[in-house]
Amino acid sequence: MNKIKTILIFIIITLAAFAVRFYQLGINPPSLDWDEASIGYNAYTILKTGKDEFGNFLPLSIRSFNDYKASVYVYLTIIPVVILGLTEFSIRFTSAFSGSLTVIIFYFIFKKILEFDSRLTNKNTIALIAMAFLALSPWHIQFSRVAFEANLALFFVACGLLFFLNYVEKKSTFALPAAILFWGISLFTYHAQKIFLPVFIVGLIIIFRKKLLKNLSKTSLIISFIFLSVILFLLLRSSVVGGQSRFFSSSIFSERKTIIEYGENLLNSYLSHFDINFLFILGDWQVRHHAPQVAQLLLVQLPLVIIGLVFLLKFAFKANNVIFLWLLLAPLPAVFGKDSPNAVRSLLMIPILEFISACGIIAMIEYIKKPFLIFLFVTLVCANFLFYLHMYFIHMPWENSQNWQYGYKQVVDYVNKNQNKYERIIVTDAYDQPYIYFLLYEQPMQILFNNGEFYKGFGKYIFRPINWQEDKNLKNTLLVGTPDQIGQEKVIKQIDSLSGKPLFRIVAL
Amino acid sequence: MNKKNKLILIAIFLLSFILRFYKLGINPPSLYWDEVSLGYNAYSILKTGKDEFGRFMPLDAFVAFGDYKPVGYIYATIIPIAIFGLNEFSVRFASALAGVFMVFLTYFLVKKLLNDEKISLVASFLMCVSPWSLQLSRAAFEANLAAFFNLLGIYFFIKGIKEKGFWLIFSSIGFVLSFYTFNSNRILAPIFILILFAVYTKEIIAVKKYAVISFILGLVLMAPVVSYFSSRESRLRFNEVNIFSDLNTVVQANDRINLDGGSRLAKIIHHRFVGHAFNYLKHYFDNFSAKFLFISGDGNPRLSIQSVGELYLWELPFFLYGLFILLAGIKDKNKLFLLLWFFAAPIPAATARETPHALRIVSILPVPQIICAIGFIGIYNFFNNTNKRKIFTYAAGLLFILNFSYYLYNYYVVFPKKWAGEWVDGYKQAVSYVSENYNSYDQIFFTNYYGRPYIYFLFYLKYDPQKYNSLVARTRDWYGNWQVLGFDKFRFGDNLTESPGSLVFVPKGSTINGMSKIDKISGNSGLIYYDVYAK
Repeated sequence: MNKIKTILIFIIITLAAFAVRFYQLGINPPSLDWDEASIGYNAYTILKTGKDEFGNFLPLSIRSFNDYKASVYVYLTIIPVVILGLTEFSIRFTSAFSGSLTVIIFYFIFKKILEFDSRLTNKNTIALIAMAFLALSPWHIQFSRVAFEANLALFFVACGLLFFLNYVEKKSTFALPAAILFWGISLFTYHAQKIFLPVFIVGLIIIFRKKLLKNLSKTSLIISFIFLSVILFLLLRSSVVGGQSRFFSSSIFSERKTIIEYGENLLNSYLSHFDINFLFILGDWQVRHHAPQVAQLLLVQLPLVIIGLVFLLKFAFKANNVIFLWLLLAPLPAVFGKDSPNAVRSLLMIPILEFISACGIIAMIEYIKKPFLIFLFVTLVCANFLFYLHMYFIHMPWENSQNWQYGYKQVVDYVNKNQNKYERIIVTDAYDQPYIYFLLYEQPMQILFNNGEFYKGFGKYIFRPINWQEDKNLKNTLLVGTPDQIGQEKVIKQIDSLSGKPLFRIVAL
Repeated sequence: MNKKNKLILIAIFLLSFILRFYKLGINPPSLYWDEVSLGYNAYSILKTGKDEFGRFMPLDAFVAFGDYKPVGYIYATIIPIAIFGLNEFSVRFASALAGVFMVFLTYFLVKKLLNDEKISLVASFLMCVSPWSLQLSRAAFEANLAAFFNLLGIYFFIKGIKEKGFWLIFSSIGFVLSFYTFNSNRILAPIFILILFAVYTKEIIAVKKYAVISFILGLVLMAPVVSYFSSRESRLRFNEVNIFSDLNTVVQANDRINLDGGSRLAKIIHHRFVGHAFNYLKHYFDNFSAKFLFISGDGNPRLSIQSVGELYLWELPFFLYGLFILLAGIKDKNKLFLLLWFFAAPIPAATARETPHALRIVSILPVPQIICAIGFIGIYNFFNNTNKRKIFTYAAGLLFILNFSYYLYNYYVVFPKKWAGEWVDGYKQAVSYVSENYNSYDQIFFTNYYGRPYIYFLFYLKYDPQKYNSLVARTRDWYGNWQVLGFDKFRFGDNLTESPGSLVFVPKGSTINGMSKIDKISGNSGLIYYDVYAK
């Protein structure tokens, strides 16, 4: 393939990656989920006051719903908020933009890895096909279109790896420090990275043990050392501030079991990430993590991944070391979680699975050599991808809007317009964390620092379950409840999901 | 074959015999009602030539509880009952023996297919200790006997095309027997025959005379059962368990088509068949989940002991490597056939809701064990000097012993206590209590709480089938299930009117006004199941 053609295809794939990640970004997924809302509000308060929602000055981790989110996503989101204002689009911008860049970075990573083996002739083609698969990957698109820290972290890990591969390949003063810097940032982007990255780096050191010291210069050693100390210092500091409570509360260690049962659980949740039903048929149990009727990968990729795996293993390419190191370690952050398989914590798997799919295509071209079969597969991949786009853009918002916390924005809009008429406003907490939407969507927006009790209420707002039999006797009150809590009588406003299912009923007393 | 290998082989066969027959009658801790029904129907045929319903030598199916059991297992059980009497051991005998034979056949089949002594030995050893095979061999599971017949059919097919066409006749008989023994095999037998013909087309043409004879023989032998397939009973049985009657899929398809404006394209891509296809794939791949295969096995505690997978965790790396060797060598017919066998076995089972299902896909055996053996020897050969090979073998052997001991401990110590209730423990003791006190009471009432008590009465009293048939009162519900209300002095049910002179069995903890509690009944596990009242 000549150079111009390569560049042209590269540009087309890049544009496609950006297009599917930015098209309708603000309105599909149809609503911000709690974490996105919290990220947006914290970015805003830090921009305006330098303090987070709770009044902490430039925090290392964001307290949020007491889950102490890693903070890099929030800080980076300040930029789009400055430029575009505080909107759904700007909150998701960081993820969509870094997701698009991830696609580009991986082209270069794949190319570098493939360079290790002289037997491969069409490296550029493989890298381009893999890049195209990643650009159009349902799993990666899903997480690029929501403010997911995991997606941003994947970008930083990829950057770190690219610089690291540069470092082992040729003399460069800045490659090693840059790798350390990006990997360091990834640790503050997503907590689960703290499990994957150390093991991954040890693996890389073993793989490249012979080349490791060859390109080390004094300057790069000193800079690396400085970066490393800063990262370790910050890491220690942030872990002191109670950062890990979320990890333990939602991990399997919160239950009492024997060692064998723990081992079984860990192994089971690790292996479940390679389950065919998870990857190709059903996807994650959480509907927010994939489009309806499409799993984490396209169904037609199942044969491609199998063929690709056999191809890679059969010829024992030198590229396999890095590929399989990454793939086998990628589900590690997810094994401690209770609900596995978990597509967020195992997001790191996706670039490698797409690379293996690309190898499947190459294996068919090189070894099966039946043009009809190849044509058939390419057609099937395209058809399956178009089906995915259709499901994502047309059916996902309609079918799953309630799972995306659709309705909160509409509730806040209505309440804001009418709140002067009432002494107090009681909102159900049945859908969890209503307070963050009231902070985020309040117009005109004023910054109130959370005293830690906001989830129960602030100002005129009270967040609690509605008990109709008692609450109907209140006066000067606006009640916002679920259809289970409030019947159809006296309802002045009802908010439905996009498929017409009632979500909120509002009653004025 | 050298002398050492011969000794190893004999040891394997001996071990497979011990593992399947040791404590066969008392672990699993008691007979499940399907086992009892198989046993009593065989007894009935032995004594009178007729089944529980008085039908003479049925060939299509035994009515039993209204579930229409295939006939194979029952006829196979007649001989052990004639020899050992009507007891737990003889009911389970056919299945256990089938399990032992499968270990034999595994060795000979692998040798024919892959022509590798080491792989054959390892495969038959893994089959010998397989938790999957052991679990299903140690209770009267029709599926296990069918899996043996299926393996027999495949073995003689391979023998037929590789040695003499004459053997194909036995292959045909093997498949026909599997067809008569378990429902899934009625679909599997044709599928396997199709696969064998497709893979070994050239070889089969070379022996076409015998192939045609065997094929026609097979068709003729299947004829008696054909009428059953069009019956209401068989359709009801299918509808009861299949995934295609799921209404949600239809509703979802209609919603999606409506949202897309009902265009022709929308009607195609959102057709309910697409939804059904996805459901089917989900259930199909359930059977290949790591949890099922390697961690905890089938969720039904009768089909797996819950603490070990269908395969040993130890086998996982060898399984993966073996699968890779098969996939990488797919151009070799024999390897292709093993793969197709492996992936075809769950095809009928995936139409049902309960997946993964160790029983319905058991005709997959011994392919997983063969795959592990291929992987094991693959890694063994990977080491190129004797010392390294020795270290590998000892290390792997040590780890295996740990895994195997864990299995044995759980099977013989934990399982019979923990899951006794699942095997409806307690009936034997209750019936023996009844038979001791039979003469002291005019009527004996027995609860339906634990399900189908009448069959245990027939079985443990060795009740005369002819007498039973003339005394029984039974009804049938819309689904075709029979409920026995009573026979002789026995009345089964929970809303009973007691009169003086009656003995009443109720589930533990229930009380009856106006009667005095005289005893309680516990099962093999020591747990109490019944309170006994009398008036």
